[in-house]
Order: sequence, then C-alpha cells, then structure tokens
Amino acid sequence: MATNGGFGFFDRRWVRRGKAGEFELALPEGVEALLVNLLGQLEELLATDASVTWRLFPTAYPDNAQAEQEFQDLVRDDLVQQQRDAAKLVISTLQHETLTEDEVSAWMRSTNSLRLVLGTILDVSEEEPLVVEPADPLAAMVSAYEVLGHLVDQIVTALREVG
Amino acid sequence: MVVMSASPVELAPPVSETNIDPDRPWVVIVWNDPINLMSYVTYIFQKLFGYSVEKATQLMLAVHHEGKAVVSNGSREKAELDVFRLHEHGLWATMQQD
Repeated sequence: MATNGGFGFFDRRWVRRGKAGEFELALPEGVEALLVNLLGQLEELLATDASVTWRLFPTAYPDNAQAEQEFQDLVRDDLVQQQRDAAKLVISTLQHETLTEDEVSAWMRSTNSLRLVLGTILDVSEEEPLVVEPADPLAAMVSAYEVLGHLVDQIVTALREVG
Repeated sequence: MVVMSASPVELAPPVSETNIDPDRPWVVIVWNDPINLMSYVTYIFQKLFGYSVEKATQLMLAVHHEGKAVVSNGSREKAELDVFRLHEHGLWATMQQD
C-alpha cells in the first residue's frame, strides 16, 4: 500500500527530532515534488528580480533613502545567494532520512520564503480568510500555501523538541 | 561580503550622512504581516536574540495585536545586523533612531 508521509500509522508527523539530536524526515512524496517545483520557480523569480519576491528583501530604512540604498548595496546580493543556497540544500537533501540542525534550519527558511511569495501572490490578509472556489485557478496555489505552512510549523515544533 | 557569524563591524555603514545623530540609540522594529506563522515568528525571536519562550511569545503577540514591536536596540551597527538577520528569516524588520 502507498504511504502518505509520517513515521507510522499513529505518528503522522513529517519531521521529528531523533534520539541523537538529528532531524528525521517522513514527507509525503507529493510534498517533495511540490518543493522541487516551487523552489525551481523561486530560482527563476530571483533571477528576474520579480516584484512578488519583495517580502524576501524588506526595507530597513523606510524614512532614509540614502541609508536604505547603502544597506541594500551591502546585503542584497547576500540575501539572494542565501535563498539560492538554501533552495539547493533542500533539493539535495530531499531524499535523506535525517537532517542536521543546520540543514533543517535551511529547510525552514526556504519553505517560509516560498510561503512569503505565495502569500504575496495570493494577497493574503488577516481581515479576510483565504477562501477560493474549487474552479478558481488559484485553488492549487492555496493548497500549496497551506501545505507549506504545515511544513514550517512541523519544523519549528521539531526544532523545539529537546534532542 | 556579510557573514552572519563574523563581527558585526563588517556591516559598518558610511558615516557621511548628516541626518543621522551618531549619539542616539537605534531600535529594531518588526511589523505585523499576514503570512508568517505565529509559531515561526516566536521561534525566530528566540533563535536570533536568545529570548525565553515567554518573552518571545510576548513580543510576537505585541507585533500581532499592535501592528509592530521593538525587538532589539543598540548601536547602528548592531541594529543593522539584527535587521539583516531578521530579513534572512523573512521577517519584516526596519530600524530607526529612538
């Protein structure tokens, strides 16, 4: 029979901390495919400086254009490179059974970055719940957004567990 | 090249600006956003600043309910490093003089 992620019938977690302090992975295959797909798209967006990625590069000095420019000159390339490195690490460790804390932290940042971009595209707000009609072409993106939120939350929970 | 683990001095900005008072301390502000999870934001405050889960939760709730909260303060160099680390983790952080 097919499995749908989780460590067993009664443990449906996708990530948990192992006895030696490592992080065990049990993602559904569909989630792995989703990450490959979305991280590939993120790479393309980063290359084109797309406006939907603005949440990954916030303003530090909203009231001081000169200071802001200098800050961006210092950090922007590094932030872009970090996004690329984290995405690459996720892809290369997708089939691993365990991750180190540094690796799972990169997973957390990368997954959260994908949420930030999808949430921007979906124009998520706190005032209105995220509802879409089944026929809406954005329905699949809303599902992806929810799955990514679940993964981020699971990683945070695992990071909090005492190793 | 900014390296997270390296000395914050590497982020030292030019001092040519006239509208920045070098003697006044800086505050780092995190703004509410509808995307980041509450659990994630709390964890990042703990991880980056070494805050207890109680303090980190309090700050997260302040951001959530009041729209923003001061999460750290200090010299301009320290504030820039903190903002950079928050941006690395996808949080919406800005800095200003107190």
